[in-house]
Amino acid sequence: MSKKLLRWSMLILILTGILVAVSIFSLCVGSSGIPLKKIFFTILEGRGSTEYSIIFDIRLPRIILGFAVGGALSLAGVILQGLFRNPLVEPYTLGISGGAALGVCLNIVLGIYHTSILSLPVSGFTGAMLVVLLVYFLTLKKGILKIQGLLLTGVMLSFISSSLIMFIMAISKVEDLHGIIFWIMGSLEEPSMLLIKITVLLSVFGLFASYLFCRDLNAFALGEEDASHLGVDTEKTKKILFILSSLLTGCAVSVAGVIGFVGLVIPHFVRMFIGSDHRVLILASFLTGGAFLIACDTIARTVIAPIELPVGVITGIIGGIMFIYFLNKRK
Amino acid sequence: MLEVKNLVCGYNNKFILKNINFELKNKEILGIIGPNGSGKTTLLRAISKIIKQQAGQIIFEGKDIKKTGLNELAKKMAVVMQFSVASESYFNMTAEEIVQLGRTPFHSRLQFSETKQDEKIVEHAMLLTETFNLRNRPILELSGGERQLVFIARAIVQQPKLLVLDEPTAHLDIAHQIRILDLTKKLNTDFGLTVMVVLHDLNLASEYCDRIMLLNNGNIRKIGIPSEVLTYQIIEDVYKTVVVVEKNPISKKPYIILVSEADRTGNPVIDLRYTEG
Repeated sequence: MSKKLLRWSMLILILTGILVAVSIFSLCVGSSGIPLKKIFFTILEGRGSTEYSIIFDIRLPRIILGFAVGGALSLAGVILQGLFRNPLVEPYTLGISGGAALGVCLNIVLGIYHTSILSLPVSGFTGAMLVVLLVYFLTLKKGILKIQGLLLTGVMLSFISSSLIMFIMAISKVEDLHGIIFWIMGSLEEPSMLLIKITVLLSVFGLFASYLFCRDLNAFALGEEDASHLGVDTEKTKKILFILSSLLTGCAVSVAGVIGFVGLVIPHFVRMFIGSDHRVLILASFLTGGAFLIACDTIARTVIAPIELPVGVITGIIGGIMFIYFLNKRK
Repeated sequence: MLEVKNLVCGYNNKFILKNINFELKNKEILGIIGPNGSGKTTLLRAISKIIKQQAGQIIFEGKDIKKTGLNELAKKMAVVMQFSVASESYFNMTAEEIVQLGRTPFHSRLQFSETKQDEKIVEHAMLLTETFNLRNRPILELSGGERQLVFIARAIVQQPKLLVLDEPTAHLDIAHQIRILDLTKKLNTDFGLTVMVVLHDLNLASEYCDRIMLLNNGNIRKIGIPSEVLTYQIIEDVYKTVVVVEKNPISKKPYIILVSEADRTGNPVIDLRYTEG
């Protein structure tokens, strides 16, 4: 036992190391490269220099947001994959991201966010929740779960959401259009410090909350019926975890736009290295997801500088290829 | 131990079990037999609270199971279903990880790791089922028989009073069939476990069960010791097939011999040639 705990602690330590390294690297590179040594002195010198404001006003908030959003999305992925015992299930493929995007889009067009910026995560969560309810009643309520049906319904809901978004864009005014497009492309550049704080808080809350269910998720690996035989209230667990993943996804999408496949790629990779015990998998995926999104964002803003790519482009390409790869491997 | 009174239940308003009454005695092995679709698995699901009962009462250890929490139930009753998802699961767990899950009902939400006692119980169960040397192997790499033993080990670590098995010998070779039922018998005699087991093989049921319950169309056709239930009249009536019932020369228990249609009539059964007119 202690051997297992030791191994897990080592893994978490290594992952934290990677996360820190990626963050420092991301602090250094950009349109104006700041060498590591200089960062150190800039911090010591304090406010005033251009470098200081680049580090603290531009790059650091981005890194923190990348960590929170990447962590939240992989967390949602781990939870959903755990519930359905399937590697293809994640917020994006279940249409939860799409629903959240639709909610946020409506918010922007109707100008609700002018009254309070907090309405953005709320509308994201509402959209995500609606899709989850639809998925739940269309597929899960009908008794025995068919994973193909679930995925197809999710993908279709995703399509419907993006069609509705296009519809909204087509009929909206030019000023709003810019806002929507800018947001949909997905970016970790977030001017509101409040939203960044909320995202961080929510994803850390999600992390702790999901740990209360790590044993139940382990039991779910045996199937729902066997999980009930082990004393797990499967219906209640499913409902709570569904809401939790909608909350995480809704918040992540409302701040950073649709960033696909993080929840697909990260849990799978982490599982390959450390197995499928959720007691370590949850935290490990959270850390890896954070590091992955920070790395993707760094690539996105440097690869064809000075033009900045939406970070969803990078995660989408990597994730989409992996999705097809798993789909074929499983046959 | 377990008392079922006027049980009615099924799925989506379709009644599978119509009026079930029986009592499971302490420390007995009760075999459940019956044709496909007669309600065997449904009965197990009702007893383990997977499906709701529409009428009637199930009393387990002196308490109505409606008033027993799933967690409380899991500490006294362990169930091994026929098709465990784990054997096709994407999450490739090791045998030991599967067995450890049997301790789930004993852990609180805030308990992070297994105790020393948990480890001892897991090790003991794996030694007992002779799966200890497989403990680090992924479950998907194991044979059907080995998997079944691992799932039984998982049930043992729940330290139940009642062990419920759904066709534990399905798709296994004769050596594994015997191995699994010998193990079940051993759990019954050495550890005083009460066992309820669904079996398709009537002869295995005859050899290993103290009593047998024969289900047909959601009703109990007959319940009693093997020689009372396994008579050719009852079997032919329920299964609609011709059998001969002899005595097993060693155990003196009923032994059912199947007869093919060709032997019954002395003719090839179906004429595959198509003849006009």
